[in-house]
Amino acid sequence: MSRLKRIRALQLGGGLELEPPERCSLAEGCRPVPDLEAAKRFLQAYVRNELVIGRFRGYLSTHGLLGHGHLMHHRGETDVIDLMAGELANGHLRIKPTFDPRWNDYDKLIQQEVDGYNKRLKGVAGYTDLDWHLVKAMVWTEVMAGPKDSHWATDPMQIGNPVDPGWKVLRTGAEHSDLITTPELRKALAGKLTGELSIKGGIAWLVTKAMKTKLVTRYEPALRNYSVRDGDTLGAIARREGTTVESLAETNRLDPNAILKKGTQLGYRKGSAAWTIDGWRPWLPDAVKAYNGGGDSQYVAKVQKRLREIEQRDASQ
Amino acid sequence: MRLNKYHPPGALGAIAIFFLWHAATQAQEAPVGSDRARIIAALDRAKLLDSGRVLAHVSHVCNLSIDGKAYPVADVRELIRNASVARGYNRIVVLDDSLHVRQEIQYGEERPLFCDGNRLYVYGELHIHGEDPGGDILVFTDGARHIEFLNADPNTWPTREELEKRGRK
Repeated sequence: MSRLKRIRALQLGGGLELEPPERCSLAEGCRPVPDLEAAKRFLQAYVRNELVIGRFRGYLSTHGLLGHGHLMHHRGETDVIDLMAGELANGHLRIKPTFDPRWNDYDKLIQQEVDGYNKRLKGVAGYTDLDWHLVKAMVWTEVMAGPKDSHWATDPMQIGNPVDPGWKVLRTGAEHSDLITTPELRKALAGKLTGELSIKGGIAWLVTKAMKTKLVTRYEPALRNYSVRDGDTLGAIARREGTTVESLAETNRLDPNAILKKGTQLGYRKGSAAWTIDGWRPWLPDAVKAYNGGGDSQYVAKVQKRLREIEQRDASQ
Repeated sequence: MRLNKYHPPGALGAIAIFFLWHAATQAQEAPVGSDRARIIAALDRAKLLDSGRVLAHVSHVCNLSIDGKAYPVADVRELIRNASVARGYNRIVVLDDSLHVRQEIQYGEERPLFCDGNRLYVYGELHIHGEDPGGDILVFTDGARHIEFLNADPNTWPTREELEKRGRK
């Protein structure tokens, strides 16, 4: 096995990539490093340039690897990269972001859930399909350090915290979220929090935040009769008989403020008011912004950055 | 030099009356619940705050005036603890003159700005739980129990001078 192949074989779980030295140029991030100390100095300089190293794992070995780890921006963001390795034998070190495939752990689940909503809500008040990549970008934003963060396995959409109003709303079906969630999901949300449940709850919350609702009164087809009593108003009749002033006025061609004569016969239809979906806010920025609850003014920008990364990665594969 | 030498009889009394009147009107104009600690205590009593969240901001925005009574409006912003990206829980809370909570209205990036009578002006278009209609002016009636929304171009909003003039009446 060649040295290069042996090194590639080490990258199970991602994080390591090595280019043949002859293809390594300064423009691509390659730097000559005559010895290990020089390599360390170079890395430190690279890191100082807006980056700090988190969990840098020593990886020195007879293979000539310098090390790998992941980088974390000062601003709290993490680049989805594991730090490169360098081959010192030929005096070059290459900085090349590589990718941990565990960042894709939830792809299938996200696609399934999003497909479900897209099918169920197709044609409802002008619904436009949710792109599952957007949800993936939100997961990448919510758990900045990715699979290395404990939240990745337990609450990747960061909504499962008991004090998060969204979680409670989804469980109880309040704030019209019952128009989005199923009874099965509401029941499941009362159980133990898992990564899968967090993804399901998070997507439900995002769709809930995209939804516009309106109170709509639906009337029975049957026309009923009412004989006006002394002192009746349309409002009083509507309340008593379970209809609305608008319906009474329209059915009987009356002014809503009309003074009624005792014994007048009125027709009416019983009605019941219910909240229904009336339209949708754009996924970006409105629904994504609402998902965050106004906690991070840069949240949308962060999600958009992640989305671009995901799109570029998909395009390059 | 004696002060009363330069004042006609009764002038000191008039000055004293003026100061008493001024103090009384100032006390009347002092916003109910302007004390941040009192508002926080009121929010705690109503169990609107949770130690699992970080209380990032509380302020007394203004007082609504509904049927001659003052209703303090508070801007309350909390952050969910242990979230790796800050998650917000922002609310406009309307209290009565005994600092009991009358309304709790969640918002995201909108902001409560000022009161004019029973109207609360907000930055952005606010919707309660995504309900239509929403608006940038919330009109409170029935002891702040009922809310209607209006939409108005901010260019038509009352000026500071108009608000001050109305406040003096």
